[in-house]
Order: sequence, then structure tokens, then C-alpha cells
Amino acid sequence: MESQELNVFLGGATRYFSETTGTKAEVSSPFLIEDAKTVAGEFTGAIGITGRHRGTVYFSADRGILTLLMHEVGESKFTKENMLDLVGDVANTIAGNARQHFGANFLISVPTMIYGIDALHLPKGIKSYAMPVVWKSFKAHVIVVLEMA
Amino acid sequence: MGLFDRKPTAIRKFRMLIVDDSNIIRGRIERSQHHEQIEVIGAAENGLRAVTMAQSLNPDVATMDITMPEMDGIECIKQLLKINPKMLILVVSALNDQAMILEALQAGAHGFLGKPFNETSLNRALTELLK
Repeated sequence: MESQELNVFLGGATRYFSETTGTKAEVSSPFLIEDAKTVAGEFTGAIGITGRHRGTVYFSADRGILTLLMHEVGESKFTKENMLDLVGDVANTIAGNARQHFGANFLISVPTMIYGIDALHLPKGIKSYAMPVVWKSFKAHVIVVLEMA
Repeated sequence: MGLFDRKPTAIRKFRMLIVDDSNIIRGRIERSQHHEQIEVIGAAENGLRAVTMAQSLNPDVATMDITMPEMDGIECIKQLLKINPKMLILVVSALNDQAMILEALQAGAHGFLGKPFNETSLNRALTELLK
């Protein structure tokens, strides 16, 4: 993936926090990852990509940032189910917004939710990039694993 | 009849169904919408459930996600308009590219709100929808 293409997902993450909460998130440059455990949070939302591209877009975060995010949007039930639902929604929004750059042939799946750091397994044979997102001192990661179909 | 003898004019209430596979988003839309003419009457987690609910609840307005299991938002719009051709449908989706907006409008949606959204943008979109 070109860095310009990865920036599309960084922009999506920034926009999610700014629009939803009114508070900007800081994002850092993408880096290659070998081991998912180095960037995985307790909760991960995954969106499968098909069409001209093939792969997955993930949003992975821990309980702290998700609790604060839920609080910001008025959600008072800080359950495991709602946290999984939330990472799915963030991943869906970041991947969905990317269609503005990649076009209508960037097809996204419904979210799949993954619980537990050890449960996140990245596909082999495709480069995986992680992009740190820091919001109110809490860190999460957008992970992009994409190739041309 | 004097000025003060008039009965207050009843405000027409639009009965709204929220359709989204995310529990968080369904809750956000219900909590964030403050339009005085809208009353939320139900929420569905996919298009198929929305069609079933619409047959019994007969909503006037619906917010509609696009990417959902069972039945997606585009098909659901078509099905809901068969039940009530006058239903006003606001698509609320992360798929906010021109092709998807056009597809949603061609299916019969009346408005499109891209995600991420906030309370202000949601209420502005609902106000536009009811004009």
C-alpha cells in the first residue's frame, strides 16, 4: 500500500473522534507489524474488504478508551457487548469512509468482532500496517491489511 | 371566539423507526434526536426485522443503515416504501461516497447523513427530511 492510501484511513480515524466527540485525536505514521499482539487491544472490530482490493480493516482498542467514548455519546451500559459493538462501528466508519478515495468498488462487509488480545490473528503473506490513534491520552490502533485483488 | 379561547394547535408527530445493526448507533440516534415532531417508536437491528416492524407499527419516518446482515439498507428502503410509499427515509451510513448516495436516493431515500455524525448534524438532517 502507498502511504497516501494509508493516510485515507488515518483521516477516517481522526474524523471519527472529531465529529463524534468534538475532541481531536492525534494519529501517528503507519508502521509495519509482524506480530498482532504488539498492537492488539482487548476489543477489535474487523471489516472485510472485497472488490478491487482484498483484505481487512481493523480498529483495536482497550476498555479505557471505549468506556470514555461511550460516555461521550451518552451510552451508560459499559458492557462487553457494547464495547464490541463500538469497535465494530468505528471500524465500519473508517472503512466505509475510505470509499470516497478508493471508489464504489471498495466493498465492505458487516463488522466481525474479536474479543481478547490473543484472538487477533492477521493474515499471512500481506503486509500489515498499524496506525496509532491517541485520544484523551488513551491509545488505540487502526490496522490495515490490504492488497489489490 | 376571543384570542385566548382558541384551542392549542396540535403538533403533528412523525413516528420514527431506527434501523441499524449497531446497538450503540441505535441508542445514539434515539438519545440525540430532539426534533419536536418526531417520536421514536421502535428500533430494528437489520432490514428484515425493520420490514416486519414496519408492517405492525406503520412508521412515518425511518433512519436507515446500509451495511446490515439479513437484509441491507437499499433493499430495506424498497420494501418499506412498498408498505408505506409516503414514508420518509434518512440514510445514516459510513458509505458516504457519491455512488452510494445516488443508489440510496434512487432506491427511494429522501436524505443522506454520512457517518461519523453528531447531535447537531443528525437533527439538522431530520429537520431537512421533514421540510
